[in-house]
Amino acid sequence: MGRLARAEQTQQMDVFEFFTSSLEECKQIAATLVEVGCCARCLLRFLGESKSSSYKYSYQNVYDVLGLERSSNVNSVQDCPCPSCLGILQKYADNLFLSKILQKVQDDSYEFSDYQCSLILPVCIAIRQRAIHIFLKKKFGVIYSVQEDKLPTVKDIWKWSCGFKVGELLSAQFQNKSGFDILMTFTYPESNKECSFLLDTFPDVFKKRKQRKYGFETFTRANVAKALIDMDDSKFEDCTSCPPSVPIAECSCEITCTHEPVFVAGRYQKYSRVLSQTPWIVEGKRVMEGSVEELICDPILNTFKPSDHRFSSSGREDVDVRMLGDGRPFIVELINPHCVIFSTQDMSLLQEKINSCSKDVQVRDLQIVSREDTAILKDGEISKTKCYSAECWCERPLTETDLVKLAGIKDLVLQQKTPLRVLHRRTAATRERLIHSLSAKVLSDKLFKLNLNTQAGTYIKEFVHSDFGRTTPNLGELLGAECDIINLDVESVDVDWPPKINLSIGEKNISSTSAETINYTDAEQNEESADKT
Amino acid sequence: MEESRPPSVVDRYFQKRYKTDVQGNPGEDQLILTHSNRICVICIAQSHPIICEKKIISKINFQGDGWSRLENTVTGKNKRGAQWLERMAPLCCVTCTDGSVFTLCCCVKGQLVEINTNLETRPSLLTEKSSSNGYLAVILPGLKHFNREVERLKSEEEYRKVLEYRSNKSAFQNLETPQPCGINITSLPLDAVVPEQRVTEQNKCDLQGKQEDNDETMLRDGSLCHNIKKASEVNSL
Repeated sequence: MGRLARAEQTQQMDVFEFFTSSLEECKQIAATLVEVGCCARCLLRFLGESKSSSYKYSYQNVYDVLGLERSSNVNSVQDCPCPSCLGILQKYADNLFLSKILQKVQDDSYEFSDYQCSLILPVCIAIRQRAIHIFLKKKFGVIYSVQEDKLPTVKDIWKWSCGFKVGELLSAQFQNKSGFDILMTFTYPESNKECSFLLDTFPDVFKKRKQRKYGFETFTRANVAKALIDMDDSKFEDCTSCPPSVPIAECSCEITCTHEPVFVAGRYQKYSRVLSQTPWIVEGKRVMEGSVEELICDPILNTFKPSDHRFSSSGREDVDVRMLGDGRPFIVELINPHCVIFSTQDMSLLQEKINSCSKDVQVRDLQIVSREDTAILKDGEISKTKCYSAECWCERPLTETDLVKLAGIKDLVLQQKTPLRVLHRRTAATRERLIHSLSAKVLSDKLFKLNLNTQAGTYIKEFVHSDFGRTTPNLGELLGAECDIINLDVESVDVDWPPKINLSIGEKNISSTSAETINYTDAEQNEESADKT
Repeated sequence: MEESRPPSVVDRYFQKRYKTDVQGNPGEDQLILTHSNRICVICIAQSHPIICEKKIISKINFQGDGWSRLENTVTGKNKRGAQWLERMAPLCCVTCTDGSVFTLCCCVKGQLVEINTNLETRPSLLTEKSSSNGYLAVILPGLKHFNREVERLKSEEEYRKVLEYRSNKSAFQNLETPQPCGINITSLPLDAVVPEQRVTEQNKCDLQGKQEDNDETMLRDGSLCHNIKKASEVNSL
């Protein structure tokens, strides 16, 4: 204020950076704009002020510097919205509106440390800006030979004048790019009417827009901007009034808050043979209670409170297949989460919460990851190898020769026809898959344990029982005797992601890891006894 | 426990359904393995003459006059381009070394997803592993048709009764007038032995379903009505 007072006193222009250094010229232009009904911020805008701090001054300061009469302007501001910004830099930039933003954010109860804002303006603002520019060009000539797009935009000015203030209200820093977005959608009831002359001038461009894919919107920001470029000044003047008419209605504004997605990744182990990976619902009816997805996601959803979520994992296992070893990497995409600030400790607490819900599913390495990292998971789904162990049956006992033969197999190429059990929903094809290595261990007379290391996407069950000879070669063919599979476990999914979290810090964590191993063996024993029954 | 064979793939994933006397040819029974995902695997039944008369197959041909299952092309999840086969559509012709020729049919209405090309190179699979590797073809009935198609086929129990009836009949006939194999079954009430409790719901459905159908099985099934009445008489004897 002190600085401004000095500027006021000396009538210096050095606070502002206008097109012209002549104060007299500026005053003339400003007076003309005031006559048309422009607000103080639009005065600065059309004077080419591009220094963001200038827009933080009050209306009064601006008027004082430009030597404008106080009283008359205040009245005109109150009567009608500014014809240039339609009130967006007046009413929608004052403290009353800013407190409404605060209210809205508080009502939605979002958690954030910084924020960004975006504005959707009425389409006709582009036309109004053009009209004012042409009007000034005619009146002041050479000064306004400067391109219209060199002028600061309404959006920029709103952010310059309010960004910091809103930040103070929200106790969050204003950023040009932030995960938390406050979107203001301004609608001006007369917008379409004001654009309608374009329909007569460019009937071809605007008529075909009446389609569903454009949401039946005849005038969009993009097509109006293009039309204005294609139209020269004289043509524009013929079609609409320059300067633009005084707005007869006010803009309305809708505020919506969104937070960009947060990705939570981890690995899960599954110890049940009666648990599907995703909710199993056929024709609206649940086939099986619970699922890996729900067991993992429910506590996460309760914590992050998103509007929606997507669960994805590096491949999937069948209902009756256990997922052992280090587990299978997964990602939960939390869409529009309301809570986002969690420390590593918070995440490990969340992990414990998930693990305490069920013995069937255990999670590890739970962490927040970036969007970019999520691609690793999907890549791994097809390129990485997997290890399995299968309990198998053969019609005759396996001999030492058989075991040696199987152990000698390296990179065996399989031709797998789409298994019958998924043929109804997958393309019928013969796919080539690799079994990198194999080994077997006799369990009893006709039962044996088969360990396999294979390319992702190999159907193990079908390799063992041949799926009516539709997978070749198959285990039966290799052994020359009929084989079948009794149980299957995934031992590892070889994706080095997400990063392992070392739980060796702190006593509590150590105890939780040992608890996990106990759980693991318990679960395995339970499973084995269940298998025998 | 380890000595006995664990439930097989067929036992675990499929339901066995049968069509007896396909196209009115006595004894020409087919097995249809139905999966809960609608996939139907078409096979021949153990009671089919090819198997029970221990025939040796010389050739299996997946094409005939005006039809070729070899030309079937299927693309995409929706199995575009698949041949749509009616129940009585022929799948293949089996020629045996004794000169007999059998036509095997589709038995369920639906899309032809694949034929078992292994049979062309190893025809013996059909007899050696009739209900697994020796399958004929895979059919996918439409979403709306599947249940009705399955209902129209005989359950294992019903199939067993048919076999029982046949053996009783032939034993009976052998007593009276000894006859060589091929009995003229068409003239006999086929479904005569139907357990009483099954008469109600199941057969009513069957009847309704079959009346919609206009293939030649209708004639035979038309007699089912009074066969049911007879069934109770038979049982009371």
